[in-house]
Amino acid sequence: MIEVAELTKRYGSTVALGGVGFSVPPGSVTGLLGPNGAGKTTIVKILLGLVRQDTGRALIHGERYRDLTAPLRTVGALLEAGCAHRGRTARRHLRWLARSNRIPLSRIDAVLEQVGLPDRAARARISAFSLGMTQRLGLAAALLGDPDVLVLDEPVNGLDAEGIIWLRSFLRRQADQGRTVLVSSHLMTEVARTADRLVVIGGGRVLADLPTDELIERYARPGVRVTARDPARLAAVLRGAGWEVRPLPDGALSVTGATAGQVGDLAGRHRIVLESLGGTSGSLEDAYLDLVARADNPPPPASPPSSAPATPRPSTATLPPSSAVTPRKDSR
Amino acid sequence: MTLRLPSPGLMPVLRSELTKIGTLRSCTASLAALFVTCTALGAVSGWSVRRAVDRGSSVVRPDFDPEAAGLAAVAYGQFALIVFGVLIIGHEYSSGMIRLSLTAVPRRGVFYTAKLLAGAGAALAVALPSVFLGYLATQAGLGAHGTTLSAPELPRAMAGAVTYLVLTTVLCAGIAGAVRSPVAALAVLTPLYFLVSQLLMTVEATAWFARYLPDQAGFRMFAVGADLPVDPGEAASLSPVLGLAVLVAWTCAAVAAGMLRLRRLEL
Repeated sequence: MIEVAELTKRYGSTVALGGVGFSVPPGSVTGLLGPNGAGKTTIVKILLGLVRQDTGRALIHGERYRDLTAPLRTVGALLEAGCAHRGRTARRHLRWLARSNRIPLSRIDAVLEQVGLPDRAARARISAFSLGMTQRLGLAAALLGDPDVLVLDEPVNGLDAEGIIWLRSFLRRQADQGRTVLVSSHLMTEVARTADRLVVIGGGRVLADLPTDELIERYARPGVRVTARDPARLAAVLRGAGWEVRPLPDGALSVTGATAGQVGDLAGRHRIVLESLGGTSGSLEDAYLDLVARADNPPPPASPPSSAPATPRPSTATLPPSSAVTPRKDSR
Repeated sequence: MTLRLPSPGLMPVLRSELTKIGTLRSCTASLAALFVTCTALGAVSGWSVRRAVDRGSSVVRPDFDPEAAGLAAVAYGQFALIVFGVLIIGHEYSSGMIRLSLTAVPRRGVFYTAKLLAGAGAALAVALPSVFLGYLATQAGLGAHGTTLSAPELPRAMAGAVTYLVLTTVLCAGIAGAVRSPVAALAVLTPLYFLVSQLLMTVEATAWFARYLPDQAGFRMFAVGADLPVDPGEAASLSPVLGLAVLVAWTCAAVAAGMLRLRRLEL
C-alpha cells in the first residue's frame, strides 16, 4: 500500500509538486503518467526518501521509507538507469546490496534467473552491459529482497521488445500475487497496457486518477479518420463547420467528435473526393494529450462557445507520435 | 511476504561497505599500492644508502638516521591511501550508485558511519603490515648500516605511522564527501599534500602555519631520532601528541563537512 497526500516540493521558485495525492492499493498495477518534467520522478524520489518534500506525506505501509527496517525487503525500487558502478560485475553489485539488508546471498541467483540475465553476463563487468541488460540488472536489484511493494521509474526505457513483453506479464503477475505496483512512465500506451489504474500528473498536480478503462471512456472522444485527395481543402471545410481537425502523420485527418456520415455529407456537398472514411473510438493518447493540454492552457473563461474545439495541442516533441490506435489491455 | 527482522543496524551496512571495497578494482589496487610502495621503496632506498655509505659518498647526510629512514616511505605510500579514501566515497557520487546505496540504507548517518569505518578498517589492515614490513625492508636494504627493532622510540613511531595513514584515509574520504566528486577531491588533495605543504614548509615566513597542515602535523606522529624536536618552541616541530591532535581535528572537520553535505543531498 502506497499513500501520497498533499505532497509539495519547490526547487527555488519552480513548483515541482503543488499538492499531489493518490494511493496505490495492493494487488494492482498503478501507472504514474505524465510528460517529462511533470514531477513523476520527484514523487518517486520523495517516496524513496531520496528527496525531501516541503509538505505532505509519502508513506509505504503507513511508514516513511526511512523508518522501514531493511527497506529492500519491503520496497523494490528501480530508478532511472545508472545506479551501479560499471567496474563491478553484476553478481558483485547484487552482493553488496544483499548484505546491506541481510538478504540471503542465494537470492542473487534467484533474481538473476527471474529477470533473465544469464550467468555469463552476471559475471561480466557492468561496463560491458547494453542498456537493456542494465535495466534488467536494475530490476534484479529491485526484486532482491522479495519486496511486496514495487516502485519502478520508467522501467520500459532501454528494454527491447522481448523485454517489454516480459515486463508487462511480470508486473501483472506481481500484482496478481497481491503486491503493490507503481510504474511511472511518459509512454502512455505502454503503461495503459498493464495498469489497472492511471494517475496522470501534469505541472506538478494530479490531472486524473481513474481506472484505465474509465479514463479512456471519460476523456477519449470518438471521431473519424478520413483521407482525401485534397486534405487541405477538406480540413478547411471541416474546420469551417466547427469540427476539431488534426492531421495525422500518414496524411490522414482526424476529426474529433464527428461521425463518418457527417463528414461524408459535408465532403459531398463541397465536392471533395474522399479516399477512405471510418470511425475511430477515441484513443487513450487523445485523452492524455487533452488532459495535459488543458492543464497547460486552462481555457479562458470569456472564450466564445463557437471556438471551443480549438484547444491548442502541446508540442509533440515531448510526447510519442499520435496514432489512432486504441490501446487494449492484455488478457489477464 | 515482507520479512520483518530486527533493525539491521550498523553491522550489515558495514559488511556491505566492506564488500563494496573488496569488489572494486581501483580500491583494492590502491591498497596494494600502499604495501608495494612501503616495502619496495624501503628496500631500494636502504640499499642505495648502503652503497653510498660504503663508497664514502658525500650525498648521505651526516645526521642520517636508519630508524627515520625505515618510516620515510610512508610519506610516499600515503598517496595510495589518499586515492583510496577519495574513492570509497567518490565512486558512489561519480557512478550515481549513491542513489541505490541510500535506497538500501536510507539512514544517512548509518550509511556514512559504516562507510568511514569500513574504509578505516581496510586502511588499518593494510597499513599495519606495510609500515612494519616496510621498516624491516629498509633495514635489510641498509644491511650493516641498518638498525634493529629494539629502538626505544620505534613502537610509538610505528603506531604513529599507522594511525597517520588511517586518519589520512578518513580525512580524504570526508573531503570527497564534501565536494561530492572524486576528481574534485583529488584536485584539492594532491597539490595540498605534494606541493603546497612542502612549499610552505620551506618558506620560513609560512612554516609556522604550514606545520599545522594535516600532513606536516601528522608526520610528527612518527618522527624519530634526529627529527624529533629538540626545542619545543622551534618552528616546524610539533610534538607527536600535538601532531596527532592537529590531524584528528582536521579529520573531524572533513568528516563533519562530508556528513553535512550528505544530509543535505537531494538526488
